[in-house]
Amino acid sequence: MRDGRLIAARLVVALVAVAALVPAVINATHAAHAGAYLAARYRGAAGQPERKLLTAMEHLGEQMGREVPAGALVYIDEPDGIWWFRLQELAAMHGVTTVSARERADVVLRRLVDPRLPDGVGLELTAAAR
Amino acid sequence: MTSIVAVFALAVAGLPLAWALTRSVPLAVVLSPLAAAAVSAVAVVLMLWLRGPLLPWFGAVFLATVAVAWFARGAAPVPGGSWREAGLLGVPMLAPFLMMFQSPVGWDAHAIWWQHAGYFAQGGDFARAAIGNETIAITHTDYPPIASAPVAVAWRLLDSLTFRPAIAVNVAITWSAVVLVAYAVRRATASAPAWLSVPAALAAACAAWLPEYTAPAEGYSDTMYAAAFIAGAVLLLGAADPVRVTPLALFLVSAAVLTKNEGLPLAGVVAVVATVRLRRDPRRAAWCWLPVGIAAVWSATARTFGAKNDLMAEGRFGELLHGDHAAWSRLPEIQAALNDQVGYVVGAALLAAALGTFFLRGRRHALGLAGDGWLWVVFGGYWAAITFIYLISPYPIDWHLSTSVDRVTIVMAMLAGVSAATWLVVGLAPAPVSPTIPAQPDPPAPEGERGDRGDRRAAGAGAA
Repeated sequence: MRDGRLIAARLVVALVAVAALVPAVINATHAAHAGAYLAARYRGAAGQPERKLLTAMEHLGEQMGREVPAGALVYIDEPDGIWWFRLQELAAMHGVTTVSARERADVVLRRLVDPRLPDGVGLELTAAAR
Repeated sequence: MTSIVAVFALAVAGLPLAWALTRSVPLAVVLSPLAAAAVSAVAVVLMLWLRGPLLPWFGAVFLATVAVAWFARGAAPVPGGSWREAGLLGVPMLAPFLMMFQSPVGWDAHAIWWQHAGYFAQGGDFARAAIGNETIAITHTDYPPIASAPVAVAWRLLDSLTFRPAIAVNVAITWSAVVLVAYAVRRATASAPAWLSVPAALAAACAAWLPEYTAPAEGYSDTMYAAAFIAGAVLLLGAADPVRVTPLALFLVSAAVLTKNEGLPLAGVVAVVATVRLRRDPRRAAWCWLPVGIAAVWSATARTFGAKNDLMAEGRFGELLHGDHAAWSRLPEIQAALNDQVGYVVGAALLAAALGTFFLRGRRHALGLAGDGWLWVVFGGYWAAITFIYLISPYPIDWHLSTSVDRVTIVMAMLAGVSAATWLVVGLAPAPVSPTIPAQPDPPAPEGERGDRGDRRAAGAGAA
């Protein structure tokens, strides 16, 4: 290949490769920028809804680990699908075994929503009727 | 503070294995979070089979890695293991991970990975029962343990079941894997000057933030497994000195299969490609099947304890095989969704690869870069596997695509990014004066090296 054509081919290939890579670099730069913004405001964002949710989940988990009798089978009576998953996660984290049928459970666990509670939510445990 | 302690503890725990694989302290520091995740995952597997609490198993596996490091002390270090190289590749990649300061409320992070970490942290008996518990089968208890096991270890070490350490551990492991992608591309383009090779390697690693810039730092495992796999595959099939990096490459691909089930088809495609390319070195080719074997061990473990795979249990194999219209009619929607996510980057990278192959193949060989045809074979294999999974999915396809397509395409974006980065180097590198291209014919190389470097040099010798 003649020198001129080779240089043109090199430039075209490099330009197309750069065009492929630019969106990736832009996205990573955007992540760095947004992340720096979040990091700078992290300490002052304790009241942010998502932070409060995580704190509430951690407190619910502690309550679950403290109040569910060791070895008890627990039925989670939670109509909200998202919270059902969250309570299952907390149960696994705190060594609580859950069952899918209320009749197999020793304890029924419900989530209480009450603005007077410190996190706005709490747990209610009742003995299952067999 | 607990997050820093958790990451530091895991990094220390991963150092012996990371050093054994690299024989370089700077690279071991980079690799140590991922190595610690692997140590944790092996501890979890042993705990599941032999019962007992997690930490003693973690300690036992850690001591085993210390022994491995002792036996590996005489081995040659991997190339490019200086503090300067590790710093140039690792430090810039820290910045995008500042997104870890977003609140870790990602769905899969909680519903899958930290739920699994929770039952791993409770010890062997509880974890065995949880894996087989039908109540939580919907959380995919068959998924591999690397993303969850180190979180469980961190929770036990800290004696604190909170979410900040969990996201910190996840991000440290993902950073480690992403930097290893940059390292792999740097090794694949090592014959080019650093001013070109390093930025190209970093740009390729940035593809981890495609198609979703929040994904690498929100507690998911998709970027982690994609990066580990691609770093391993590039080192295995594209590095300038593949023999010295083979153990590291196999570790990375094995880590990928222990992170997500989708790692298995990827490891299978790489094993087939490597077997074909290394057919003159059957011993090394056989080692390339190690990740597939490791995937089989986890699969057997999960099934033994009652885990069910939703695709295997409810997948629409029959409808697909019988040409059922309802199954096949999903195909255009699947392809449109994949195209929306990565169509542009894949199209541009393919164009660069096609033009480069047509006009600059000789120059690429003269520069000492391996061809990237294998990379597109892996891409095709993954594309076919993902398409197949969506075709047989038991879930409504709109829902399944909307909840996953932005994550399963990270592998595609990164493969395309790696290909584009290598062609960028080929296009801009000064005239080939690679130290890997000798002026005189090589002395006879060991059998295993002839198929790689020998062929490449021979091709380079004839390049204009």
